[in-house]
Formats: sequence, C-alpha cells, structure tokens
Amino acid sequence: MPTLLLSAPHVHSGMTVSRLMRQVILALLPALVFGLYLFGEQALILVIASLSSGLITEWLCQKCQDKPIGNLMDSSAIVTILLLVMSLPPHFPWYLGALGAAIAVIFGKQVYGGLGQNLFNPAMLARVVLLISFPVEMTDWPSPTPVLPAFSGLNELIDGFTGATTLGSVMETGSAVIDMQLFPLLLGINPGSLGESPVLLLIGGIWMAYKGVIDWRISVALLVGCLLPSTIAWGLSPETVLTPIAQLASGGLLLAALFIATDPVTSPTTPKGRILYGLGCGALIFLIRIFGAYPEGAAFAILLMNAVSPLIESVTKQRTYGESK
Amino acid sequence: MLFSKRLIKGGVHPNGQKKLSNNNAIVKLAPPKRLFLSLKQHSGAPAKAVIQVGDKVTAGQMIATGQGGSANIHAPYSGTIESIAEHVAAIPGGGKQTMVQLLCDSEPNNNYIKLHHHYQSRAELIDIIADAGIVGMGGAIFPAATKLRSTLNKEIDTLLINGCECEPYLTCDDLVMQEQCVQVVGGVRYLLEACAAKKAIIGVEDNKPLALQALIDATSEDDNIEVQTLPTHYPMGSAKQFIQALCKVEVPKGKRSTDVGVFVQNVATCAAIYNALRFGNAMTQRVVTLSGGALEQPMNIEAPIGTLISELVATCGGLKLSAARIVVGGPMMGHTITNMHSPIMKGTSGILFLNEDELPQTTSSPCVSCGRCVAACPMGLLPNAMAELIANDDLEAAQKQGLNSCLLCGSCAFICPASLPLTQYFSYATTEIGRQKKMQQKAQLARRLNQQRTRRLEQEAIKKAAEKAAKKAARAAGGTRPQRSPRVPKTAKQES
Repeated sequence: MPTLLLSAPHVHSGMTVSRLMRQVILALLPALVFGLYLFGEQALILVIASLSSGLITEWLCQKCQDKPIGNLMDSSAIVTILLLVMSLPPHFPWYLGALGAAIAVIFGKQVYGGLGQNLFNPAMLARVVLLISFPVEMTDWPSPTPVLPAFSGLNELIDGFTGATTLGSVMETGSAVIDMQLFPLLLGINPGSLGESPVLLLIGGIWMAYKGVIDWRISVALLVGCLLPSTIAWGLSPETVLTPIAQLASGGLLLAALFIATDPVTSPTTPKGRILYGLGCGALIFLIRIFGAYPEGAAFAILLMNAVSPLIESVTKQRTYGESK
Repeated sequence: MLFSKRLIKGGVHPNGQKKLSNNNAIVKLAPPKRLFLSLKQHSGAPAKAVIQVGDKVTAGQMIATGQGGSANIHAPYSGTIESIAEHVAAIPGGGKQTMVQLLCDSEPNNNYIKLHHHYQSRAELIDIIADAGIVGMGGAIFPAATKLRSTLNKEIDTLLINGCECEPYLTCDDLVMQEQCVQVVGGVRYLLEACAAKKAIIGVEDNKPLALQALIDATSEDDNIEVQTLPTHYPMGSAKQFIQALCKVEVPKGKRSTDVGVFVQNVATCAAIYNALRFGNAMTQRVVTLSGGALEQPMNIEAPIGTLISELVATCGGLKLSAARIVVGGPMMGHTITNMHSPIMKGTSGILFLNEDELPQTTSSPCVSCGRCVAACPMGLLPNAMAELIANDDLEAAQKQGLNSCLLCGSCAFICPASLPLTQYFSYATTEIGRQKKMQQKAQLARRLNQQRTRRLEQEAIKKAAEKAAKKAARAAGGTRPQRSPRVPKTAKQES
C-alpha cells in the first residue's frame, strides 16, 4: 500500500531535460563529424581539449556549490561546448579552445547559478570573448584537407577555395562577385568554422523541429529576418552583396538559426515572442554583415537579442481564455 | 497537424490506456454487506441525516436531505443503520467524513421506494431531479438540479452533453454510452425540456467509435440532438474547452457557461436523470472504472454508492503487483489515497492502481524555460512564470498572471521535461489565496463589528448625557434646586 499522498498529474510525457540535450547532440553530430573529416586531426584535438576542459570545469563548479543546479549528466555542458567549438576556426589552438570552453561554463552559465539561470548564450559569450581576445587566431581560416579521399573530384573542388571565408573575402575586397560552385557551398567544403556544413546542419535542424526539440518559429523567423533584407540588398547592388543562397550557406547563419538562437534558456517562451526574437536576431545578423566591422555577426546578434529576451517575453504575453479579444 | 486549425488551444496527448478496461461489458456488483454513505457526496454543504441509528430502511429511501444547494442521499439497498460516524473517505488529503453505515439485508427484497416522478412544468421536472439526489458525475459533483434552476431565468440555446472522457484510463462513460445509450439519449431529451434549449450536441472523442455508433443509432429519430466526433485531445472534456470546441465561443472570465447560452452536462448524469424521471429511481448506483497496471483484471463495475474500494478490488481479482499509487479519478487531475477501506461516492469515476512503471519521476531538474508548458496550457497562461512567482510566495503577482483561470488540468506538468510539479504549485496557491481571503473577510467582519460597537457606545453616551441634561432642565424649571453653570469638559480644553 502506498503511504504518500502525491499531487496530480500521475502520468508524464516521459521527456526529460537531459534527453532533450542528447537529441541536440545527436542532431549536431553529422555536421561535426563532417567538419572533423574535412579539417583533420588538429580539429579533433581542438574538440577533445575543449570538451575535457569544459566538463572538468562544470564538475569543479558543481563541487564548489552547496546546492548545484543541474548536474554533469544532464549533458547541457556538452551542448554548450560543442556549439562553441563548431563556431570556431577548425585549426584554432587547442589550449585556447580549452580556455574558451572554461569561459563558457564559468562566465556563461555557472556565475548565474547554473543550468537554466543564464541570461546570455554561454557558447556565444565565450566565442565573443575569444574573438576579442585572440583576433588573429580567430580569423585564421584553413582550407579543408580531407583525411580520406571520399570521392573523386572533391580535391579539385577544394582547390578552388583557399584563404578567406566567403563573407570575409567580401568584407576585404568589397566585391561579391565570387566564382562559386553550388555543391561545395551547400556541403560546406570551403574555409569556415568547424561545423558549418549547411546541408548537414539543416538535416539535424529539421529532425529536431520534427521531434519538437526546437521551435521552428525561431529558426524560420531568424532566416526570414536575415535573408529578406539580404535579398533586397542583393537586388539593389549585386556587385557588393552576396547572393541569398551564399548568404544562407555561409558564416554561422544556419548554426545560429537552428542550434544557437533556439537555445530555450535564453530565448522567449511565448510563440509570438519567439517570432519577434528570431526576426530580431536575423535582422541584426544582416546589419552586422552589411554595415559592421566584422564579416560575421551571428554571435553578437544573438547576445544582443538575449539581453532583450525577457522584455520581449513580457510584451508578447498571450491572451488567456475568456479574456476579451 | 502543424497548420490545421485546432479546436482548442494547447493541450497534450497522453497515452489513453483505454484498452485496459474498455473491452469488457459493465459488471454488476453483487450486493455488498455494508455500505458507507458519506453525507458530503457533492459540492456545497453536507446533507442532513434524516434517519436514526438502528432504523430499518428500504431501498430507495431517503436517508439524508440536501440543504442549501446540496443533494439528497438515498439507501441503495434495504438494511439497518448501524452508525452515523466519522469514516475514512476517498477525498483529497485523505481525511474523514461523517458517513451513514448501512448493514444491508442478507436477503434483499424487491421493495424499492420510487420517487414521485410526474411533472407539469419545468420547475417540477427540476424538482424531481433534485429529489433523486443527482449530481454531475463527470467530476464536478455539482448538484444537477441547482445547475438547472439557474437556467430558469436565462435563455439557453444549446445543450452540450459531454462524452469526451479525455482522462486516460477512464472508460466508464464510454461503456455507459455503449450499453445505456437509450438511457443517455432519454436523459438528453428530458434535459432539453428542463433547460428549454433549442438543440443538443453530444460530443464524443474519436477514440470511442463504439459509443459514437451507439449514440448515432439511438438519436436517429431526434432532429434536435446531434452527435459530434471530437479529436482525442486532453483536456477536451473540460467544460470550458468543450464549449470552445463545439460552439466556437469562449466563456468570458468570471462568467458561467449559462451566460453564453450553453448548458453542459455529462453523459452518465443524463442516464441518471432518465432513470429518475422515467422510473422514479434515485441516484444510488454508478459505473466506476477500475484500472491500472497493478490490477489483475481492469474492468468497469456498476456498484452502489458507498461500496468500499477494497470490495471493488476483490471483484477485479485483486492486485497483481503492489500498487505504487492509488488514484481516485483520472491520472491527470485525480488525487491519491492511501486507504482502500474508503467508499466510492457519486462523483467517483475511476480508481486507478498504478504500478511503478506508469508513474512520472518524482525528482525534478531545473527549468530551462523551454516553453512547452506555455504551449500546452489550454487557458493561454504562462505556467513557468506563475510557478516561479508562487515559489517566491508572490501570490498576488501570480493572480495577475491569471492564476484564477488555471483549471489544474495538469497539461503543463505532464509535458514539463524538467518534471516540475507545476500543478502542485497552482493548487497550493489557489487554496492559500482562498484561505487568505477567508482570513481577510473574518478580520473585516471583526473590524466592522468593533466599529459598530464603538459607535453604539458613543451614541448611548450621547443619549445618556442628553437625558441627564433634560432631567436637569426639568428640575431647574421646577425650581427645586439652584441652577449650576454647565461644566466645560477638561479633555476639550486640553485638545485645543
């Protein structure tokens, strides 16, 4: 006979926070693995070093607290570190990656109290810290050098892309007329961050939206917010602005739209608020790309929108049942 | 699904678990030896016992009369009143209630006291429903007659009959609709008369195809009774959501469904109304679902009100596993009990014996503000924000967020990945606010009485003084004593 009186409901959907986190990791894996394949063992060392550093930091932080919020097993630290690493240059020094991971965990999350308490996205906070502190290392974009020749013709394709990232070269030369083939662009075989393969990110993102892990509203709104003005700008000045497809496929736009802006902790909870938040992120990314000093602004855009997220939430309160319309 | 227009906002899709108990016909329980009839089977004040200990009662005899909007209680079988005393009850919190203990005759006779069931007017019809002691059997346990009387001075357009049974596990309404569809539809016809509605809609969720078919067949000759299929979607059966789904109107905040011209009643209640008006039978039986993974043979049992839960379990072949939780009602909104020696009441729709695997985890993780509770709330509230305010004891702010609209339906807590006890916060807060309000009213009453007393004393003092002065004046006029100059009160001087 049960002896405790417990409160309803007596059934549950079975979803847990750690399962959500594991699903995000699963969705990230294709792009991450492809990135490692393209950029070789140096990238692998970066990932391992960052993960170890971040997890040890998380463990230490929780050891130091009387009542830690969350635990190591909830996988949230792994998501944060993976998102940070995937937005870094693939051959970024491993010790700096480890430093970034520790910054993400300590200053991005634990100083606020732990899981669910932070105002800013920890991965983007750490990325901005690294970008400002180590500008040289953060803008050193190697060409992909696949460790295995997977299919013939790949190397030829790769030879066409060396030096700066697509967005970076536009920023430097002021000319958006770049000879580009669609296939490597969509697969992400060009200089760029470690996990930037548009097609693989999209597969992971759509799977997450289908599973209900992320809210499609944020992602769609962010893409609309960035690509709609981009398309108009491209129509006005095709010489200096990249084509919408190239805009979509380059920089961290898809990573931001599908994995970073959709971070539940730092985005609003109301459906309308999420659309507004996504549009804001997208518009800021567009503005930074076109008018900013940096070639890519996803991290800044998301951090700025994180700051206004509570405000957005409070002005987009939904109408309750029975209230006048 | 993504873009289709949904009938109600939010909601969740819990595993129905209906197959456990909906395959078998309703089993009629053999007359039990003892019955425990609580004097508080309904919302409102307890009924007043009209029999004495030691009295012999006949089946159908009224043993307690409703007072102040509560419902009558009748003896299900003939027997002797053993005691009227406190007994453990299947109520939230596991308290005790005053119950009439009835020792049933070992040889039941077929005598049954019938209600007077002829009527000439709507008011008389409603009186018969009141005499029969019928309460809402869907869980609200509100006396049906009281609810019907409120329609006498209001215009009712549509009568809605709730056959959703959206709570998982429960199948008693399903089986009643299948096996007693004639009584249900008969009850609907009486109700149409009672509330003078133009038409009736019976709404049933699409996971009950047999019940739907039975109702469609039974209503084939009624032009003003419509059977509508609703998608299986929790909490479709909540009155407000049910109205929203079928009539496309929302009940304004602070108003009742009758204010928008709608009257809602549950299907099993309709069957009870039919039995009262057609045959003069009082409400002494009901169908209860016994289900859950720990029960040997889940089934629906038609049992007299007051049967002990332990006897129903024995009818189901006992427990095959130890029950981790015993739930009275559905798993989304029901409450737990710890003592099977408590009786069923008029509002007991189900008793669930859940095993360890069926239960949610009881440890919660931090909120990651994923917003699933916001999306799931059928009332459009922000459960996460409200829970945070309540955790910080800011009940006033929680009320501003719309706490009073909360149905306690459990959708938010069901979906929460962090397993936060959201519903528990809200039920605590609503109870606490009620308690505080009562205290405030008490304090206000005390203050008012105190003010009245002071005023009365003042007036009495003034009156006394005036009388004294009048006496003095009279005496002065008589010239019996020399007149003295009136004394100036000291206090007045000091104050100036």
